[in-house]
Amino acid sequence: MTQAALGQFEHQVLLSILRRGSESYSVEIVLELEEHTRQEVATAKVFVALKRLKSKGLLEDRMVEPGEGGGHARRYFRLTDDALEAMRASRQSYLNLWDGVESHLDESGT
Amino acid sequence: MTASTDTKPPAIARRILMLLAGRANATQVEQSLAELFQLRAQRDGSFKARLWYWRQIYGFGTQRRSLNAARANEIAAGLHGGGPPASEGPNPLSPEAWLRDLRLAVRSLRRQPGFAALAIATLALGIGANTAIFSVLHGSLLRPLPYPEPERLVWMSDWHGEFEGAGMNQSVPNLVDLQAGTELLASMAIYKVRSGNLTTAEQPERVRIMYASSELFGTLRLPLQLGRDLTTQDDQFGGEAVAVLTDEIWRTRFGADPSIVGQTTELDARPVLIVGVASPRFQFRGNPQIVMALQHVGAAHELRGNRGHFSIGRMAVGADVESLRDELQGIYAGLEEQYPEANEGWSTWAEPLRDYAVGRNARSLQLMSGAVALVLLIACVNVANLMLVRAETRQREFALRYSLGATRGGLVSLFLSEGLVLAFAGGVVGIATAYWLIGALVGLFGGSLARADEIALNGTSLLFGLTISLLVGLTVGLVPLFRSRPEAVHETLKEGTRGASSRASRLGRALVVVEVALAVLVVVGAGLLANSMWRLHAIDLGLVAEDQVLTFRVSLPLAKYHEAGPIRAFYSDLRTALVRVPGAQSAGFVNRLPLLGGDNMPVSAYGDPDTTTNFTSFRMVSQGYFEAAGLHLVAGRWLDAEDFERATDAIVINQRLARSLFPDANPVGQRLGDPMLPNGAPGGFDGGLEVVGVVADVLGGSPDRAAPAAFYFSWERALDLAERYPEMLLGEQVAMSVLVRTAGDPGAMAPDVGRALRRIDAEVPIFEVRTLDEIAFDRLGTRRFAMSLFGLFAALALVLGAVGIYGVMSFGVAQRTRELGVRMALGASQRSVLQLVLSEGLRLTIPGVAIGVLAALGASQLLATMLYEVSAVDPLTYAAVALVLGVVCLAAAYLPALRATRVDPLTSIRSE
Repeated sequence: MTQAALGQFEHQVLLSILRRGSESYSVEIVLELEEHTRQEVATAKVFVALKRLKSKGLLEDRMVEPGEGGGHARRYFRLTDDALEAMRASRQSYLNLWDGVESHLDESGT
Repeated sequence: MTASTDTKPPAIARRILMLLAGRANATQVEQSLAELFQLRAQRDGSFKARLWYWRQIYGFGTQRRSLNAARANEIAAGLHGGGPPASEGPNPLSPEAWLRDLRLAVRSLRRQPGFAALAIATLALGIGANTAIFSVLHGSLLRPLPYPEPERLVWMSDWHGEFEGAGMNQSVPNLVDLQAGTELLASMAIYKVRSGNLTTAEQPERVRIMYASSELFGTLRLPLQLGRDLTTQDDQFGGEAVAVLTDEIWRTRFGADPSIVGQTTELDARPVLIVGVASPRFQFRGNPQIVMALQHVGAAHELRGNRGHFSIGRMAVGADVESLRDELQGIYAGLEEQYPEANEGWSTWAEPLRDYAVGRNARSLQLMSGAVALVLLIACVNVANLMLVRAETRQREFALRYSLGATRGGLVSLFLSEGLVLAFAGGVVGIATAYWLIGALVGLFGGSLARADEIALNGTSLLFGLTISLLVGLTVGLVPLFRSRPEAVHETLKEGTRGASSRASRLGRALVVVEVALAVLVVVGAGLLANSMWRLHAIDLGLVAEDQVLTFRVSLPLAKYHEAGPIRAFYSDLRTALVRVPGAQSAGFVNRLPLLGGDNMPVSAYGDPDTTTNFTSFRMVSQGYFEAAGLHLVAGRWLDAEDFERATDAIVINQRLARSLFPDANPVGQRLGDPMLPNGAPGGFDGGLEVVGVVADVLGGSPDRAAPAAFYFSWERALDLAERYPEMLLGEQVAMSVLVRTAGDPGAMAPDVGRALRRIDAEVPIFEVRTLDEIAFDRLGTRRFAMSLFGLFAALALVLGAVGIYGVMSFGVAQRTRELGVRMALGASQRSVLQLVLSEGLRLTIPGVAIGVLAALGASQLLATMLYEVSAVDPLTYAAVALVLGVVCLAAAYLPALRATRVDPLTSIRSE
């Protein structure tokens, strides 16, 4: 199947969900992203990315009603098989591009 | 989940978020952000969390389109299982929705024309006053000078240790040395601005002439529109007199005739060759109309100690004013060492040309804009309050709308629309007001405003007016959001209109307190200025009945009057003719009118240079001057007829000079070194000058400085000197100020005076006809400007504050009709109800006044430089302001209170 290339931020969002395990909701995704990118994340961007990923068929969602302890309804997102495929392709294209030039990182990285 | 309940996201931000996220996302987004906010608040503290929250809101603002676009794709691609989600409502930010809301807002405002008119008028006042002041500020201060790279231009003047601040004239030889020595100035021009008579036409005309070195236009980088620039050839002393016309006089006087270049005109009856016409952008403080070559090169008469010029320069690329000052002062230190007799104690100063062009208004204009911004704030608070009250009475309407399917976003948008409609209407009326106000301001105070001709309601000020209207609209539109809780539909619908919400009234009260405090701030400023003004007016100027003196200036054309004889004859005839004018009591003339500062020279006691008093203003006076001007003799005698006829060495000094030269002796009979003799000149008055009398001090041009030291000598003596040293003093004697004292109205004498002058010489123009009283009035120009405006703003602030109190009180009374009715039914007297309501008014007024007084104490130092003999924390002013505010507020509360006492217990209880 023809796969639209993943944007960098989309890739990061998908990775965050993957890292959290099977499912996660917006707040968890934001926290995961912030923890690993060490940057403040614009929540709005996350929402946009989630919408877009869902419209590309890379995410599935379901509403979870609050339990006994109160709280509010949450929308949980889960990766589809297409998502894993797209991530694999995206990762591979980065690796291909990096092949042979990784030594530059060491030269200028100090 | 452990969320601390005391930290909540900022309410306004939350509401904006709901609006931005769109209905479909709102709940999810809001809840997610709230959760993240809690986590952050626990980790970083609530302040940082709030900042974070606002940043997130900003993110939603920028991502709004993408958020909606993502949805649009989704729908278009049919990925959602076909058809839009059921909950999808119209986007409250779509243009159609806005238009609909605007129409709704207009309709709903038209239903309450009283409310709308009050709100629009209030906003119009605030916006209009702000736009007008902004226009003045912009024309006068903010707009850069119309020259290329204006920030590189500097203005230079001298300063002396004995005198506060710079701004003293410079001497040509010193400037020529500066010019040779500087490396930080790319170019520099010397100039002075004087008046002269344009005598070409049948009617002689007084014009302002800028005598400038040839570098002037090059330094400004302003190419001429016609003809050639001044050249170094033109700088030579004794060369042909050449002039460049300004655009203004070229158009008004020479009919914009391009062939004028190469023609000759007459200035002071001397032929002058017109070589060019300056760019219309050329403008300078003092409004020169003609630029003439200074001809300073090789002019032997330009003495080093003879300060009468200023200079401008263009700094080299990369230079700054501080390092330029250092460099110039270094050069000047060398000059001081080399020429101590002319330069001791002197140094020089450079400042940005723009600061000089703006002049002394800068400070007062900045204060004005502060005060006027406060007025706008008061107006906003007022309208916000009105909106709040209105929202309160419309709870039912909102609840109903909500329960019929209106979204929260829709309600927000409705509020905003109402705010915007009001602010826009207020803005339009306000800008019209501003247009009128700017005209009035320039008309009234144009003289004391820098660059007055550039002040207008232009695109920038329009934009300013519209921008503040928009901001005001958003602000007053958002306030009712605090009050609208459409989710509480049931309560509201059940309660009816009865439920007076403590939340809203608490907010309303807080707003009134703020309003009163702001009003106190403005009124205190006005009070302090008024107090200073009153003291300034009450000062003894040192003159008798200055409202009975007519003054004017005459300037004799040098070509016809270049010798002492004709000059003497002219003024003698003039004086005789003036005394004969019906109603005239006495007449005399002088080189500089009293109250205008003067030409200064250093003076010392005879043979004792240690007593030198720099900046002693000298007055060459004619017979009759002392009577006409109304000076007080303190000791000794006046100059007498002999002194005036024979050029004796008698002089009269003022008290200040007497104190500084002869602190321990009777000044009468003492002698002064003659300051008028040129260095080493074999004068005829080697024994110096004899003090024959002491007069009371007369104030100088600066309203808040003490009277300057001064001495008076016979004009005949000056003429006599001029005959001996013609190159030195001639020029001074031909332009004199004439004073005529009358028992009646001095203005009424002006035509007779003009006729008398024309009978003697019809070619001599008469100008600057004013009464001495007007001069005394004008001295206070800038301050009067500041005070009048502050007074106006204070009045506005008071009115708005009173309206605010009135609004809240009468609404409170209306809400409590039932309660008051019950009280009265149970036997409460009218008096006790009155007291009840009034005391409520006081509960708003007292904290407002207290906060305002504290704030004013804190801000008062800003005003300090504009005050005269009044402390910025003057207790009397503060007390008076507090009292006035208290009375006004009570009066505003009294009307609703009175209404409360007229409540009929029966009807009020039955009405529910």
